[in-house]
Amino acid sequence: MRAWAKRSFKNRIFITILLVALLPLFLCAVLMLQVQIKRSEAELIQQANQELDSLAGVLTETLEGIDAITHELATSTLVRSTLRRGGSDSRVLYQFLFHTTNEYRNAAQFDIYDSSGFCRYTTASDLPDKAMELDWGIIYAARHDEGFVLQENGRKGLIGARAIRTYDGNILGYLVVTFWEEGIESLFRGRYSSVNNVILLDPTWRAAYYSQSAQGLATTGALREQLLNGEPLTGREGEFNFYVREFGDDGFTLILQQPRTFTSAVMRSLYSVSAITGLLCLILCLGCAWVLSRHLSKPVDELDTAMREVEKGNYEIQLETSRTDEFGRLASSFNRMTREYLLNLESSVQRQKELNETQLRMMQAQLNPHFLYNTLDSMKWLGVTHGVPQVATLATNLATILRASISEGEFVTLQQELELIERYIDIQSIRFGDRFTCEIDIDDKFQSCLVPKLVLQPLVENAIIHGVEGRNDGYIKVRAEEQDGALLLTVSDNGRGIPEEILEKLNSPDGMKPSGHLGLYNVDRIIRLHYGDQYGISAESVKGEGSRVQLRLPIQREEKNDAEGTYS
Amino acid sequence: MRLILVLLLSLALVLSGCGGQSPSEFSRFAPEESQRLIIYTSHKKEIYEPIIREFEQRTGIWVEIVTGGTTELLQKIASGDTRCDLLFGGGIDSLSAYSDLFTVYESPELENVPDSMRGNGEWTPFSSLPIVLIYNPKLVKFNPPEGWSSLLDPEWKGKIAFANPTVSGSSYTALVTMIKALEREPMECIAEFYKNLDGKVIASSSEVIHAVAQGEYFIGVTLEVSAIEGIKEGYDIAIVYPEEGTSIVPDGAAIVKNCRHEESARRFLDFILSTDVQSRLYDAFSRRPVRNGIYIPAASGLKSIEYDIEWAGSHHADILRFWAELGRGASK
Repeated sequence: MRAWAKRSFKNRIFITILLVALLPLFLCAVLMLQVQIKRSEAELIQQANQELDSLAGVLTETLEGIDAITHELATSTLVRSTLRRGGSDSRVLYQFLFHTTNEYRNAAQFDIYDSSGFCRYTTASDLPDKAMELDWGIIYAARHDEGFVLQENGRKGLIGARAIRTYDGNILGYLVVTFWEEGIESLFRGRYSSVNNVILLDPTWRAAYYSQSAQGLATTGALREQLLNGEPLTGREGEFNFYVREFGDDGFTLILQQPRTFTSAVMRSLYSVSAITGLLCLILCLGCAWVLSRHLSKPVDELDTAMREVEKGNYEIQLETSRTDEFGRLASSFNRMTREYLLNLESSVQRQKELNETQLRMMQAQLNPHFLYNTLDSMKWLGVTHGVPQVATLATNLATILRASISEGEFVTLQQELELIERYIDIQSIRFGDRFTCEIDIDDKFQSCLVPKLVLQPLVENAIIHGVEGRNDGYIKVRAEEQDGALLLTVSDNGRGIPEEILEKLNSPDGMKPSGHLGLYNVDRIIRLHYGDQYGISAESVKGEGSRVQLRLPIQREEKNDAEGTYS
Repeated sequence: MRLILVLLLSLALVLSGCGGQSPSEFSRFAPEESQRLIIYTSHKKEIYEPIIREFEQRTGIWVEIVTGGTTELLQKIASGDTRCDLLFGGGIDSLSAYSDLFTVYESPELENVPDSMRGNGEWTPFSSLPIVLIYNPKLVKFNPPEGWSSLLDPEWKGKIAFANPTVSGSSYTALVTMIKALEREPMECIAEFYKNLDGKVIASSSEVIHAVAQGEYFIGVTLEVSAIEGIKEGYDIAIVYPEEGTSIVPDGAAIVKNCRHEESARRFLDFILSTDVQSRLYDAFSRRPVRNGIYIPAASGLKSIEYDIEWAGSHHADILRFWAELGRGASK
């Protein structure tokens, strides 16, 4: 996964978008669900506690009231004396019994039993025939207690009793209060919501009453077992919350059984709905993230491929794009770049070709130099032996110039170049005699500048030929100066000047090859080829007064001191 | 990737954080150990429930009940079940056979119990259960069976309902009682009786009443309590107390050794021997109390003979093996 993400930024964009879109959604959904559940649970708990408060309240109140009236009945002289007398037909006692129990007869039935367990008076319609067992159950409990005792009545409600005693403590009878299920139901009615169930348990959690008798027994059995085993109270089956409340002093317990809102079925459907929406979101996100990351990465990919093509040497490649955003601009920049590169390449190839041609011509010019040397040497010695020193000088100087012109290396120092010029002038002096003078005025600081070899010679030659022709006071001056970081070499003469049309051609940046002045043209070409078009030759001339030809070169100095030997 | 893992983990925490109320919320309602008792019982619900309810109401002790057959429960305890505090129910011959599972407790109430039923403390008697003969009065008009000798009388050959003693404890008790009452040589007596059954043995003791009442058999051998309950349920049968006398073997209860609620168990034993419980046995449960001085209607002709538990125990395997051999011999 990590490797996959690293391989392409498209994948990283994809994962990022996916995470940014999905995680908050997912967290949000889960949190909302939890908050909802918690809130609803809290509400349920509050509701249950309120209901329990109300139920326990009414039950406690009723039991306290009954405790009070049974005390009143059991200690009344009327009841005692009537029981002592026997019989079961005292109207006065019935009046007193009904009057006293008036408030509670809806909830309970009141009976007065004699000491042998037979019922003497009752608020029910008929006197029960069967005697109560004296050594069992509620009567036993009442006899062994001073006050009012309460028990569950065989799962059919509650039964309470109080012993009626004489002043010296002998048993006269028992006052028995029976809460039938209907009585308890009438007490509880309207105090709990209809979906809930109420269970009334005795101190050992045996059921006394349950509002829903169908499952009551099984539920209480299960609850009791769970309590004894220390397990959470969950009842037998179904999903319920149970709330437990103890009330009164007898250890009785009320339990409210409340159905869970978020049962596992509800939770399952909630979770599956969330899961399905989540899945839909995931699919949508996947699609969007994929499209977006592709949209972002496609032009970069194309650029990447095109670059690799260019690296392989295919400069013809062009990107096609209709986009106008940053990627569109990038693509058109790329296209422009490759186009220009291609043009540059073509022109440099062309230049190289021209250079090669020039070199070829130069090599042709080097034809058989040894033969020439030897000839010149012979001429020199012939001059010496025949006493013609001019011939010897001519031959020596010519040999030197010849060697320089065919030597390897294209650049010489200005000093070396000037040496050649001097030799050339020596030769021309022999030819022209004193018809011209040449002055070389070059500062020492320029002596070490590098120049293409034999660039000055054609200028001087030109000056001699055109300047001295037809006159006896020819004056040629060679000068060097620095201007804007460039070296300016100027050869001026006082001759008849350069014809207008040639001058024009010389000064035009890349004019046609002039028919004459081939030397000047070549010098211009060489300089331009070496240094670029901002360098080269320029000429000005005034007819009949002289001309001035100027070379413009970059200042380059020799790096090694012993670069080239001198031509001697 | 680690980030995602952390997020997922925290999510799982959020999810697991939602649960119901914790058990500790309710545990304050649970009784303390001293207020608990776990009873294994082989009695019927009609018997154990009122007694245990009354016990709970009087003492406030919370009783947990596990029901099952006597042998099943005994074997459960023997196999290392440590939950049981007290076994309630089962003939004392069964309890004696497993006496090393139980701890000795001499209830103070035992002084009101006849010596013959006291035992030596490993078990405490609950009710006495005489073995009786029954007959179908529609089929037997004159000369009803009179005693154990009738079972060997060829007049009743093939008409006697008798449960398989290898399955039914009371049938085995009846066999031993017959041998003792008739003062016969054991194997000879059994062989003769088996012959008189004519190969017909009832699978379980609970079917004897039904078989006689339906006329399948004329007479039967069963416990008095089963007979009385059968009559109460409306079966037309008559009870005969054997003229030679019959054994009255009590059923009982016993406290398991090293149990967790021994004090509560002792209180329960005291309670079942108390007058309040004993005086209810006959009326409510058709059982005879073991306690002296409880009034019950006189049973004409009920005569007790001593039942030698030790002899019965030591000959148990021999007699049942012999019985099984008789069964195989008859089927040949």
